Amino acid sequence: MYKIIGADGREYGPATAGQLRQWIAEGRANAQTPTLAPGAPEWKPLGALPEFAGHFAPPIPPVIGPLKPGTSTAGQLPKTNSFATAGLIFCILSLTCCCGCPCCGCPFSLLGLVFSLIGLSQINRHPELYEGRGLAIAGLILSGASLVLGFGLAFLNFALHPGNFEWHFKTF
Amino acid sequence: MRAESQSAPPKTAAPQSLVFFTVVVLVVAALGSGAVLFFFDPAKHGFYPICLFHSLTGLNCPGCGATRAAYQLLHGHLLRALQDNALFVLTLTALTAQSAWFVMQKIRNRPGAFIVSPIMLWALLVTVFVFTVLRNLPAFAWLSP
Repeated sequence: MYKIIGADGREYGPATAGQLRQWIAEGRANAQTPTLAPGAPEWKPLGALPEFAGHFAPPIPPVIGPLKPGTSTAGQLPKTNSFATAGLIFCILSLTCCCGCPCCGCPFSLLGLVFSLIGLSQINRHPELYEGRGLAIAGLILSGASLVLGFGLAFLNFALHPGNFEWHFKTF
Repeated sequence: MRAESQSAPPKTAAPQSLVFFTVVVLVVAALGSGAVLFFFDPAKHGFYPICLFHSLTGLNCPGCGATRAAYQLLHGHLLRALQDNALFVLTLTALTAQSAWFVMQKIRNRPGAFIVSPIMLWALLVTVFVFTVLRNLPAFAWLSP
């Protein structure tokens, strides 16, 4: 029985070879999908398994050869987790917007927080597949900081200038 | 079949319609805010959100001046935009260049992904912090709007 990791980062299986072929046909798994073959010690991209090699379109021949001799095939190397990347991007956005007003910055910091958390949990679950733990941790800390800063500034603004708040209410 | 599809992994590629929808929403939002910015100068109209950080501390945050810079850019005043928020203008330029490259690759049917490398992200993060500190120092006041 095989196990695979789907595009959402979750484990699927155990599945039979027939079921796996159906998933390939339905576009649920591709040559890069990490797969644990029965009895195999480690996860491998589905395309690297000889029993499924015929199910994928012939790969585009690489224009440049591997940089270092002995480099393993593509897909074997851990790749940067996209959730961690997105988390840090949102966190940078929130840092530059949070100062504007909490209502502009908060969606970004919340998104940064959620994406970084998802990224971190995926990296923790499959450290052999993903890189970017530093990105996820930085995103987590800075999103939290920007959330606190945003609300703190809003409270400070209200505490120091209650008149401003009333003015905002009257305009709507 | 139904029970099986529940335990089956999701499709590896996002459905085409969802990608298209996202792109349309982003383009409409960009055009809308661009139009508002073009006709209403942020330096003269008060309905734009005020920077709380700036109004409370008097210091400039990394995003301060970005709205004014966008207004100047839309009117073709590159130098004045750079003076308002250089970081915003330079980041926008880099993003535009990469998007243009990505679209060209797509049109010419060549492989290309919109890659954000971790090194660039770290560099951007450090730049944001350095920029924030520098623009609030008297010697680098020209970085502030």
